[in-house]
Amino acid sequence: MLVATAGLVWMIYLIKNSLGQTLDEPGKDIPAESGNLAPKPAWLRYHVRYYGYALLFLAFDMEMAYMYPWAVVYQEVGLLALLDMGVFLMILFLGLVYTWTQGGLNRQ
Amino acid sequence: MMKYGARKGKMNFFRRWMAKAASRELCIFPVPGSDVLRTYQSESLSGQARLTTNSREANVLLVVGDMSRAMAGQAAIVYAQMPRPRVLVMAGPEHLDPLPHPDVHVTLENDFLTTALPVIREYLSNHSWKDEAEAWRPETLVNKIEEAGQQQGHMHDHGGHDHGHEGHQHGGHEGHDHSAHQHEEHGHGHHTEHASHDHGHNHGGHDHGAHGHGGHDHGSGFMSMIAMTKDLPRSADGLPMEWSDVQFGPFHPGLPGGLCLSMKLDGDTVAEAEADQNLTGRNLLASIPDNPMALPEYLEAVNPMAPVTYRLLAQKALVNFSSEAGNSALTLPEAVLLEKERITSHLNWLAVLAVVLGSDWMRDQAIKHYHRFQNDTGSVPQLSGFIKRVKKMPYLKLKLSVASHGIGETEEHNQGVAGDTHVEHHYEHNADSHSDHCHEEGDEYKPHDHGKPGHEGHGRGSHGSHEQSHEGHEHHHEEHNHSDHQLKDHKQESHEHEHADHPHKEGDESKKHEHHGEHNHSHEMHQHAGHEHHEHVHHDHGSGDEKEQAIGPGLNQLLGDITGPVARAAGIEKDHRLEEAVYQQAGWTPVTATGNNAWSRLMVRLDEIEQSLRFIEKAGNDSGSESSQKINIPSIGMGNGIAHIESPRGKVTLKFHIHEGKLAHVHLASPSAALAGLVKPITEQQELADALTAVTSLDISPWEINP
Amino acid sequence: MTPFLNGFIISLLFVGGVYVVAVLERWSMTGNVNWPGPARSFYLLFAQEEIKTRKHDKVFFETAPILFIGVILLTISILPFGRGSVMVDLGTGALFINAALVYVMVSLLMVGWAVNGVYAMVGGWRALAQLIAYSMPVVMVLTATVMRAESMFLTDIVESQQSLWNILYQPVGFMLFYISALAITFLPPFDLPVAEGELAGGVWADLTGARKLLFRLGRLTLVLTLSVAVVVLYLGGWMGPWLPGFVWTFLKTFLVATSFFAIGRYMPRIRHDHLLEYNWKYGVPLALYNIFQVGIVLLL
Repeated sequence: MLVATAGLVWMIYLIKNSLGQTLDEPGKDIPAESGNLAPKPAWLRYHVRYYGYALLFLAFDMEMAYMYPWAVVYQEVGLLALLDMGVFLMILFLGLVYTWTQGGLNRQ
Repeated sequence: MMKYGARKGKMNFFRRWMAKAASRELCIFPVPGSDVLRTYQSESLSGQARLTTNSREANVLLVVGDMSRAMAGQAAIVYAQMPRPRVLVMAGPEHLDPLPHPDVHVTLENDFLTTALPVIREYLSNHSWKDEAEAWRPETLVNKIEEAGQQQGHMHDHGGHDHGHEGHQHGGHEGHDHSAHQHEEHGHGHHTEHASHDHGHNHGGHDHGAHGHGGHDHGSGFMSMIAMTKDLPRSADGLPMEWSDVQFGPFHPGLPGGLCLSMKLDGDTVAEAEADQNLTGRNLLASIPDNPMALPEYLEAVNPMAPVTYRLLAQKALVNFSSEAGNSALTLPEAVLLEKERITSHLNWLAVLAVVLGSDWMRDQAIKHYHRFQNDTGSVPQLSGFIKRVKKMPYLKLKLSVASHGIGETEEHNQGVAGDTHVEHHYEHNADSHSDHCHEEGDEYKPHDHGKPGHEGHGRGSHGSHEQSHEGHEHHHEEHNHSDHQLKDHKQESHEHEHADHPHKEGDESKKHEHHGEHNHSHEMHQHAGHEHHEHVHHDHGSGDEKEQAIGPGLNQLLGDITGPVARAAGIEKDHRLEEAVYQQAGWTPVTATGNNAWSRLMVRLDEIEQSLRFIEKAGNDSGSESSQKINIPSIGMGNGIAHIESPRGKVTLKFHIHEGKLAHVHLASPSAALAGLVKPITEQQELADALTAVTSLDISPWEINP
Repeated sequence: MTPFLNGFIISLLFVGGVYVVAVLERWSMTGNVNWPGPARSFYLLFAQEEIKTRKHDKVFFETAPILFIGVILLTISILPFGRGSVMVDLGTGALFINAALVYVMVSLLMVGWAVNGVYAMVGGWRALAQLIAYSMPVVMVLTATVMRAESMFLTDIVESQQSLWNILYQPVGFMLFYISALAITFLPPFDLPVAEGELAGGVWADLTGARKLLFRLGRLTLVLTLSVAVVVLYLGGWMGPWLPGFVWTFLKTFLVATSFFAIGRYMPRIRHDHLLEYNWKYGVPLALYNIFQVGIVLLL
């Protein structure tokens, strides 16, 4: 599959190049800002306002890594598995509720 | 011919085939905007070509009508940004200065596009590759770029760094220093994200840290975060961040064509936004014709989207001048014409709003109905059906009710309703969570006072993410929470007035509700307002609390100048049609709503469309024709003429002075200038999408701002 | 039919499917069904010049489109189209879907950063917000389907739906996965990174030529891939009477894809705040409930 991707991409680029070069003109390489020049680079300290969610995502992602093997053996182990994982999920869920009430799940 | 539009090279078989296939797919970038283009079309461009507003995707730049030099300069920037092959089409002017000579030129008339399309296709399929293609280097553009490049050199001097390498610098700092500093409060999100990256985890992939930035040599020694960020402007939650200057320029798809907003963005929240008032100046009022009888025709050009309104206005003023009574009223045929224009103007606006909302169906339907009503083949039941469906569109109300900005909150109950929606939807849905908390009023209230100034400071009437004037139970607590970790300096603007009227009554909430209900129902045409209000009631009762409004002194001033649907959406009943006999006879009352947010403005306009439809139906056989009143200007006439009319955007006033039978001085007051002034408070601290929606909901016509 | 012939037909159907999705996308944007449209856009993108913005981030600018389309093609390779018609029957198939599709959003962020323009930057960070919002429900509901199948092989997941399709067994999970699939492909109403009306093209506004082509092709393929994933996980995969398995898969995929585009056409774009809020406040609890529900039902 990776080979197929590489092949596809290479072919597209090849065809593109055969169709001519880009003419270098002033203003062409400035990012489009609906009719204005945007000469300043946009690489700024961007205020990402959802960092509360990002933190919570980390915690849950770690949890999900443990859930996958659990899910596979769930039916074998039975009720015990449900209870065990239930406790784990409850703890994390409480974490979610805590963040919710503390205002972490908002636009900061 | 296509010297600046063709790619450089020879046409060979393969290229010819590509060009031919590409020419069938025309992406047209309309300048100044698709709403202006629509006024010259009689049906939408469904299969033949595509309208796009992304200059990189377009291959045809279509200039519609004459425009000021500044705007032509911006069109030139768009042209420079278009990848070749590109075609420049001008409809109207022969040549606009910074732009090159047009490849295709057509006269500006109805349906010019259908005549121009085959020519454009022919150009693209045959001339896409040319040996004689040259780079286009206009003076003005080159100068602008150089200037901007020089300014950049001074830009990166915050906190006394030496920034050797501009572009990668900021990313580099974040990646590099975050791992080193211990400043807990600052940017937890960034810290975590970069830290997680640095430790090789791959949560959602912050690869950009890996690439080149991490390895960047800082060069000026270690600087603590505090020193590095001391010059940066601080955001509302206290974090020092850099703001970017960006313009949502004249050719933005979601804004009316020609309206240029320059914004300072703090992340994706708008820190400041302003509408550029000088871009569209065409100096029409400076070169008025001498003959007063030519004034109606001339004034049609003021606003290409409401020409009939201005013509009627000029006629009315002339009749006022020449008749003895000096106070003419609209006749029924004229009123019918005015109402028809109101319908089409609102539909055109709706199409623009639909683009900014992201609903393609709404846009397509609005355009279809616009064209039909423009050609007088409109079907009333279909339009009514469309309006009903828009009102019931899922999620639309939630999305638009968010931004209630408190401009012109003149009456408590209005604010109450506004507050409900704002509270419920914009800020967190903490209603349920807070009802779980046991909050005592006493000890919460004092620290709340303390915490409040910190959060208030978004200027009067603008609430952004901490709505202040809606003093709900929940919000006290919300702010209290925030006050714990966000007691930083905030903008010290007028928060005191909100504080002063901070009655925290819990008791007679239910009584207030009844009061609201009655008051609203006293207006006839207010089913929607009442309905909307009841919906707010439901939302509100979910939390069981009522929001008390603080009436800021002087907020009236801001909305005092505003007329038209924006004012009516705030509950202020200002409508010039109230003074016209024709409307009174038909039993007409203005449509108002409460809520003062984008949703109520949308409702007001939709209801006005319905109202106009009914009015036209009632007027019956008069299909709307010109007035037959006599206008008599004696050649030695002298005096003043004055008239008002209710345009789709608000009240327009025309005053002129006639001296010896010639027009001497004309003064035109249109609502858009005042509306443009509203842009700043309405977008403060709003997320970008909400800000753009709010601005579009104002229906500013940039052509009227400075005619 | 020999596996090779099967595979060949499936690939053809898949490429055809991408074209059909392109036509559907056009329908969702303009309301007409325009059959030659996508082919012409394709050629137009070839005929255009390539523009690289000033001071762009070279590595990201070049790799983002390739990463985008590469990941999507990888995901296709693990999805089963019919009994036995799967390129790589990965032992961790269910996990792989999620893991690979994360890179979709990563590449959006990369391209938003690389272009070095404010519109693209805003779009890029919004893409990241979308990722944070929708990863969790996706992972949790995938886990619930794995629970029923007792293995992460995608073929086993389809086999486990012999008695009752997952859409009826885990309706909450289906709903969440459906919405998350819409979000991962950044289709309207979740098209925040490429908001046409707000950011004038957003993340991919400044891309032209081959890179834009890869992104657009990639997105169409992504829609198709996610539709197949929805079908495999919830709609019983290749199960159906008298037609060969892969035909059923494609039919169901077509239905799912059409519904994706229909929703986008009729709803306004979701607000950035609501995206994260609704997901974490309602989506994640619902997903946890889904796991419990499936767990309890499985034990009964």
